[in-house]
Amino acid sequence: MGAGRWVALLAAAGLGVSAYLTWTALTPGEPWCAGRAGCQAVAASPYAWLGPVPVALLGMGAYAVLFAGGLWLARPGAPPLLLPGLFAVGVAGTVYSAYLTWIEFYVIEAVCGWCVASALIITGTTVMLGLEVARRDSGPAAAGQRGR
Amino acid sequence: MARKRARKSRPSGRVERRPGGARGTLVLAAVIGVTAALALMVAGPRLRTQPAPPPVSEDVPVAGTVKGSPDAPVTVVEFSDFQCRYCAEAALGLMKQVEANYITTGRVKLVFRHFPFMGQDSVNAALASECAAEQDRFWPYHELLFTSFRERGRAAYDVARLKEYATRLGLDRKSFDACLADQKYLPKLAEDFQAGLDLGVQGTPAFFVNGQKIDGLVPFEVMAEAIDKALAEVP
Repeated sequence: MGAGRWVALLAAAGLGVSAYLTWTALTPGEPWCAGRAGCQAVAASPYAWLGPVPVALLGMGAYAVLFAGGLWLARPGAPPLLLPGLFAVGVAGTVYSAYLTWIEFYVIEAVCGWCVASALIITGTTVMLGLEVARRDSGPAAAGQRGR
Repeated sequence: MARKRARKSRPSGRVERRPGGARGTLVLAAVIGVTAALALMVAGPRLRTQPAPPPVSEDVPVAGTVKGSPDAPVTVVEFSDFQCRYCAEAALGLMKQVEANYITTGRVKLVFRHFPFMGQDSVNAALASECAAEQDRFWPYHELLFTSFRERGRAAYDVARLKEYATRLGLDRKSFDACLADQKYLPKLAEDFQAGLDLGVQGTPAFFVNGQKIDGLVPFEVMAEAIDKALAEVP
């Protein structure tokens, strides 16, 4: 399976997680959490929102872009700027997720499994995209074979 | 393609990179990504490194949820909810200025009353603050609550944390825990809440300066004007 499809697959998983967290943020319920109730604490913290927008909704947007971009990448004839563009989205998501994970551990002192899962998914996606950027640029021969 | 390969194997040993080659593309995309992430961090709640709540000035008499001289000519009554962000700003900003300018000089006394309308966490925090008041530590506890709330949001008020704050302030944990578990001050909370409703309080914070109502978080100048007016009216 090519990198584009892997990216789409990981992004689909991230999309599921972020869609669930967005739903719980916008409705009266709280996220289901295995074990200790860290998710409720994290969801109720000010860091779960950027102004009026739930952070999970931003994540959903990013994953939707990565999902669509991954599928496009898997097809021949994808524009050359698509891959670096997706990589930039991945880096933004990874850095922001790392910051939020740090907030969970050291500021809120509660850990939400959903958020950690999302952080791992976005990190994996970004690593995959970074490797693909490097592979595609490593030689013209490789460039002609990818994404198929 | 063949020409490119030929260029790569030049005797100089230097590998020519195509414009926008791997490293350049990666770096540029990474810079854009990191910049976007930083923008999100700046847009989010700022991490505050709050200093520990200042100790209550020894010059200011304190009795339970009242701060200031009992003989002060002006009384400011504040209705507040510990989960209300504007109440936190009022407690840690506006009322500090009022304290410095009026309470320490004996001209104003501040009466804190509970208006816990934002849910169970508000009630728990209010109950805990009353348990702290029982040990003459209402004001430092109240500041610690608001400081923590500003940092952590609602997560600041889970029961374990409410107890941890008590430990941090050196309260007798056995009696504090018992007080909290018994919800000993629930009737007082209900009484404060009803008093607020009777006075027309519809949101927090709400202030009454010798009976004159001030709604919401106002600039210090507005509060000072109301206090000065009340002071001028005192015979």
